[in-house]
Amino acid sequence: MTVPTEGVVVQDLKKYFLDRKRGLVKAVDGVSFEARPGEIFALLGPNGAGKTTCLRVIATVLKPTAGQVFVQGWNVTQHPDQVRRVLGFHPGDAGVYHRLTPYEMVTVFAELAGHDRREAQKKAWEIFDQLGLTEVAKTPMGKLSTGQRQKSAIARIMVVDPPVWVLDEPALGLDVPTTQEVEQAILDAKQRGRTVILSTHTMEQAEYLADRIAVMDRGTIQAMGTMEDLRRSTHKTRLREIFLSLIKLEAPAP
Amino acid sequence: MKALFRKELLDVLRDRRTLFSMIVVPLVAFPAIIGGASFFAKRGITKIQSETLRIFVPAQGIPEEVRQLLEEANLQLVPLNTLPDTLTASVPAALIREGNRYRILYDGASEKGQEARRRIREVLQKHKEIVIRRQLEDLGVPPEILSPLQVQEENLASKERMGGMVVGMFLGYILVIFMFTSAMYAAMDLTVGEKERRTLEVLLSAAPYRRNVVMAKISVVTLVAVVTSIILVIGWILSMLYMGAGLFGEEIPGGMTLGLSAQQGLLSFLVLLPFAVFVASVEVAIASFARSYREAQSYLSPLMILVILPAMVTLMPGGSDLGWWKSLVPVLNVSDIFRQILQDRLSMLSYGLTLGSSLLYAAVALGIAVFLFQREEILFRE
Repeated sequence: MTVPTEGVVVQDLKKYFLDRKRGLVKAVDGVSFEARPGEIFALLGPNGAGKTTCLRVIATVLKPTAGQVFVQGWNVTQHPDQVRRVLGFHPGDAGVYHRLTPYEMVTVFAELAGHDRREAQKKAWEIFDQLGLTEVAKTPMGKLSTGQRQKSAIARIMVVDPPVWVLDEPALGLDVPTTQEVEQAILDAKQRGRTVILSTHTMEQAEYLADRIAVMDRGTIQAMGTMEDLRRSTHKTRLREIFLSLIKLEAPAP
Repeated sequence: MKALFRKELLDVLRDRRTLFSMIVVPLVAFPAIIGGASFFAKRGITKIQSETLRIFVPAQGIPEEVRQLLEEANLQLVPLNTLPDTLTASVPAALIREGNRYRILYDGASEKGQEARRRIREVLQKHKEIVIRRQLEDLGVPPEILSPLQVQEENLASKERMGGMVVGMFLGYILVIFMFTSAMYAAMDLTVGEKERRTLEVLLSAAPYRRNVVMAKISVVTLVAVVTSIILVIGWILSMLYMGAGLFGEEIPGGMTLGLSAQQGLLSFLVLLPFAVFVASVEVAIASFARSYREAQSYLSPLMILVILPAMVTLMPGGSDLGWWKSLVPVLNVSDIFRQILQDRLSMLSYGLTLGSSLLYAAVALGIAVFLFQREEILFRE
């Protein structure tokens, strides 16, 4: 099989853990999908569905138990170093250094990605302006609000602007205006031809942002496609109804 | 690697626990502890030496001359008709005479009892000399016969060597313990601390090579250990030279100073560096294994006991005469070599073995730490 040199390809991905209490836990059990450049691909699922584990494997934080994952044509198991150069990962509500300032974190991570320090510093200020972080750019992140921290984490990826963005719950705990700013940054990345894979609990966000959605439950993908595809296959209209039907629960009566 | 090192350094230098154990404890706590201990030791000794102590003496039987000498020695005589069963806190000693035999009864468990005994012994010695002198005079023998030879003591050790002896006595021991302690906070913060804050995932997905991540962490922890050591040595030397004499109960004859030559400094640093890498690697490896800060503390705290034991050997009698093999035992070798360097009696065989083995241990510990850090089941243990 020819692997595309752009985007992300996940083939029959399995990730098992051995837990002392629960025995063998199949966090991800045979997941396959493809995310293309210029596309936002959303993983939607309840807690424990395996979304975060999936994203961690793509981001080379975890190794797959079986199956293959390619990022920009690089196999995550064989060439994790190459994958890390072309990918930006945001691990949910955390992932910021509380003792560093947004400016320090952003420039250090740009350098790690091989960017010139001065150029990264210049670009950082442009992004801080765009995200409304200029005034707090030199304040330790521990003193910032949740929204400012989350935007700093997105700024870290924006400065590098890698071909692949992997975002775990990028708008978790944010108010409406901040959510909108973060979502706009994601849509801009898509416009620039970046491949974006995100996980979310928010139906509205998935519907608003994603070109395609995969509904995950208990480590497997229950359904995948555009909103139209999902509506057709489930005979439901609203994403909430579609989601609940796929995870074998019924939506409360309207 | 440079960017990683800068990130780790910025992060650790803003951690209050690390800064506290790195700067405040060695620079402030040590002088405070030594100064305080020295002050109270001196004050206690001066106070007890100038205090009038009460002793029981029989109402009759003790020659008047002895009574006078006892009173001159600041002893207040409490007359007694019968031998006391026990001594009291206010009267901690007694002097009994049985013919030509004097008996000193004292409370050996109290400082006052011991001081009273010391003064009584001095008085009796003086009395003995007076009696002998008088008897010799009666016989027409010149009293100089009592002193056929003169003994004069002179300390030929330089002030520098005296300083080295005092400073080096505990420094090796204190140094290794503090290196482990200060490095412990930094190691925990940069490994399990990152796990808890969930920044480790960001770092691992961003830095191309995982070995560079752990190498940067170990480098920063090593730097913390080395800086702590340097600050500690400065704080310790100043404390001991200016405040430590009181700990010995009396002034050091001839005084003391410490002239650490460039050669001694270099020799110390050459041993310090691989030892700091060893300490940092061991602590980073252990802290990486832990799932939480608390778990890391429970692993690293018993490690301190393992460190204290070999470090203490050099403080024990005969600890410095254990043979060449002690230069191969981690912690013990470094603790001992610092003492040798400061006391200016360095054995080059000992130094060579210590340096060689320290380099080997550092390389092995570093290799293990790098290996473990690359294993998912260690970093993300369920």
